[in-house]
Amino acid sequence: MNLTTKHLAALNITCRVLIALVGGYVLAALSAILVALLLPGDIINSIVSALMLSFIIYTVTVLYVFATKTTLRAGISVFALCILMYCFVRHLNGIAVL
Amino acid sequence: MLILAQILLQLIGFALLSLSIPRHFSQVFQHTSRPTKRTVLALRCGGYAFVILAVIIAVNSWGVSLGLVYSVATATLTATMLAVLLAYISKLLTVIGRGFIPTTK
Amino acid sequence: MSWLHTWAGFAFGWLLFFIFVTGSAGYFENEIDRWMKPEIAIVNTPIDDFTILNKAQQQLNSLAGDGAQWYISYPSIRDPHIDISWLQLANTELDIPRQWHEKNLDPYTNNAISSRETSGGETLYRLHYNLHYVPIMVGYLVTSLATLFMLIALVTGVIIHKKIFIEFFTFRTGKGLRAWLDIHNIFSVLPLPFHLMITYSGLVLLMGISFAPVIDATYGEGKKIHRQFYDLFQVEDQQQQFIELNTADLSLETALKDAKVRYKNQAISYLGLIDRHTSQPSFEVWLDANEGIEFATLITYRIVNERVQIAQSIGKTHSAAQVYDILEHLHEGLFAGTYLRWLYFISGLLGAGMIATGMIIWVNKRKKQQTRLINVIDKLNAAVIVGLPIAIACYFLSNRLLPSAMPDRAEWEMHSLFIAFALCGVFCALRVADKAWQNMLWVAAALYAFIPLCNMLTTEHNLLLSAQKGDWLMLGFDLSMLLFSACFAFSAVLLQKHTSKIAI
Repeated sequence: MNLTTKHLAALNITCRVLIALVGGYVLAALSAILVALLLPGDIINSIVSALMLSFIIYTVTVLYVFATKTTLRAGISVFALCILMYCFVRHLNGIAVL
Repeated sequence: MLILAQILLQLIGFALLSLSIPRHFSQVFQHTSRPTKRTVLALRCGGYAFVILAVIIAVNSWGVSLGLVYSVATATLTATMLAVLLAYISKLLTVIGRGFIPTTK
Repeated sequence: MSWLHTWAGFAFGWLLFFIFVTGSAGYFENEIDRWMKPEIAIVNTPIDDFTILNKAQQQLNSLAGDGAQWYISYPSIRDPHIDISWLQLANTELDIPRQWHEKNLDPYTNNAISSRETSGGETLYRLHYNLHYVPIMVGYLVTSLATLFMLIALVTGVIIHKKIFIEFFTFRTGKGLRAWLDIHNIFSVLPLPFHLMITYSGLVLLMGISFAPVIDATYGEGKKIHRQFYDLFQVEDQQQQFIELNTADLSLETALKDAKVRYKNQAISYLGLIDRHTSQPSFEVWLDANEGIEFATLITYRIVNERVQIAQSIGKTHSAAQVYDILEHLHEGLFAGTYLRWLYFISGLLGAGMIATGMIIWVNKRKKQQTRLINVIDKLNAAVIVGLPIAIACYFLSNRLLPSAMPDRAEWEMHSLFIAFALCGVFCALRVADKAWQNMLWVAAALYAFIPLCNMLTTEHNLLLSAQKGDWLMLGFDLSMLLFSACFAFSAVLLQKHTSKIAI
């Protein structure tokens, strides 16, 4: 009984770390692309502004992943947001993102 | 000269603010147990007033960016000085106290 | 949140300590450079700008006749010496790579001095984002990742420390873990604006690398395209006007004369001659900015349409570039005078202290478990936290002790740093944890005290002479080394008292 709970806890933590680091990066990058495309004006200005803000999104994502009650909820939220961002980006221009 | 003024103003300001915190108030004024609500309010207002004055003077003298850098940097310096002072203040005050009030103990 | 703070901090703790220490050293990069080049001539008396130009041009003419770019560096408070440098273009036939050459000028004897080949303060500070022994990209990416963890540790730290204002000035001495926590709080909270600024700006400075895929998706892929993106983003608005000067008369002298008239109160920091070997050379006059958080003003003189034109940048074109500039200037602190520079340095060291106390708390909270792993980490803490200062001391000593004719001398100074670092690791691994800390602190104290002594023994400089000649940078460096030595000795004594208390 003890062995499985320990393993489950370790699996839980590992998943959260992966979702936070990898998922967070993907989400931050996609959001930056979206913001860059949405901002009016010179594209270079927009890209740089979006990049500078991306770290806030990354940090908030990481905090969220570790603050939510279940790992499942964290994983699904991040994944869903990534898909959403990707769809928006795809809609705005046809450039292949990944 | 301006830098010295900045340091002094912030030192006074943060000193007043630190005294408005009950723990430090009792450290410094050992005979009184807790400061009254009025005292705390006065100390807080006075403290913030001095710090804000320091920031205004800094921005006036050096411009916005540089002035803010000077204020924030000096805040770190003065707050650190106060933290160290307060850590050893009770020891310091008992030594000073003994100097003024000779006891047989 | 507490869990996240502990592990986000622990994951890259030692690397972040390394980054903070080497980065803080960077605020005194120029001063360290001066100490590591003891041969250069210090200029203490004000010398006329044109006299300097004449002497420099004489030397440049004889030494750098075919240089593509010439630069003359004027004396300033942080660099009270005159230097000339020139760019030698690549020559594939003679197998000469493209490289910069530099010589120091002694205005009193008119000699051009070559100082010992050294990594200097510059390489020491670059360690904090290039790392070493790894490709630069790896250095950038690892540093970026560590910085992200730092930001998370900072934010979670603020979140969990809800009583942040009540405990603002609190430091309860002598109560073991509580005292360590109080110190950790003080090192974190009091310089918090600095920590947040330095961490966020650090992330922003490397964002072109860490978030390169964003540029790929929105602008284009490939090194060349990214380079183009960077150049376009950094473009500046230029204010241009034509001036009354014969094109035939345009030279460094006339450019300097004109600049001094236009900007009466600003000191000259550099003169530059670009594209010397072409038919369209341009002349640069760099002035100290004296204002805000800008570092320098550049005026360029060139011939356009058979008239002399001066161009001056009046700021970055893109608003995002202006914000980027603010973050960059705040991070680098190049604008800072003596007072702010020391505060930058101290805040950086407080940051290093924040990380060090964090690592110590991590171990102390788990000491009761008495496992092998905790013991190893305790010893590694000593190896890194005291070992890095020891390694840097060895770096400085290697500058004095390595033979000047040694091949790759500059690289070997760096190797000395890392060899010393590794030796500290081995030493701590072999000692008992408590003894390890004790010994390391005394070694650090001894080494730092030895640095000014070594200076005296191997060069003609010493404390008295530096004070007499007004060589403030040399004196300041030597005295700072003594100050650090005293701090380490003091810590060693405190630790000794503490352990003997526990023993009783």
